Amino acid sequence: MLDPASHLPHRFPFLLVDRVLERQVNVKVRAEKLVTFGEPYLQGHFPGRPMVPGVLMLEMLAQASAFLEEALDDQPVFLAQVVDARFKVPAFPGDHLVLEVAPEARFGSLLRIHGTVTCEGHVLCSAKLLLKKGSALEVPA
Amino acid sequence: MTPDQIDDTAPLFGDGLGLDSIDALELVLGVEQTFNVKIEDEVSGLRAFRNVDSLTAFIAEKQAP
Repeated sequence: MLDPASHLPHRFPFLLVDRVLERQVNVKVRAEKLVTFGEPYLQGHFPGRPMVPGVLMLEMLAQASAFLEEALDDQPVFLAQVVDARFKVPAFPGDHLVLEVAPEARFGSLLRIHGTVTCEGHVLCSAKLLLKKGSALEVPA
Repeated sequence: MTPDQIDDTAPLFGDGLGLDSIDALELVLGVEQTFNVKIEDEVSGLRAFRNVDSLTAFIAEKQAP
């Protein structure tokens, strides 16, 4: 079983992949994240009505995408662009989230992926993301 | 900006047209879809993407029978 923490530099409270369920290099990754009441951000988002912020679902997809790469190392994957993101249903404590990502295009260290976050077969979030592996994106002024 | 406002010899990235590395992927995909020309790697991409003239030459060379 692949240990996400050994290949992602993220740590609590920002390691947002619990397990990698399926990994086909450059084709598809399926991973999972269990949402618990212990997530620090749920205290304030929102008091008495906890739900996972949509941007964190994008971060989950970005972290899961690191496992599409052939070389597994602890090089971070940075978000470079959110091309399209749809949040259809919120995620709540107790939800078992399945993160599915697949590459759409690649050029150099840039990778565009399509991903979905589902819970019990329902799509909560779908997005296209542009990611850059290695160093943070340097955009010329 | 219209196509005729683009200087064919001005750099596409940085000071010239001002594209950034995020645009590079879009450009790669656009060239592939429109001209059916694959840009295999970063090295050939950087050569092709110097300016409009170099991109035109690159596509013409790849399309030559």
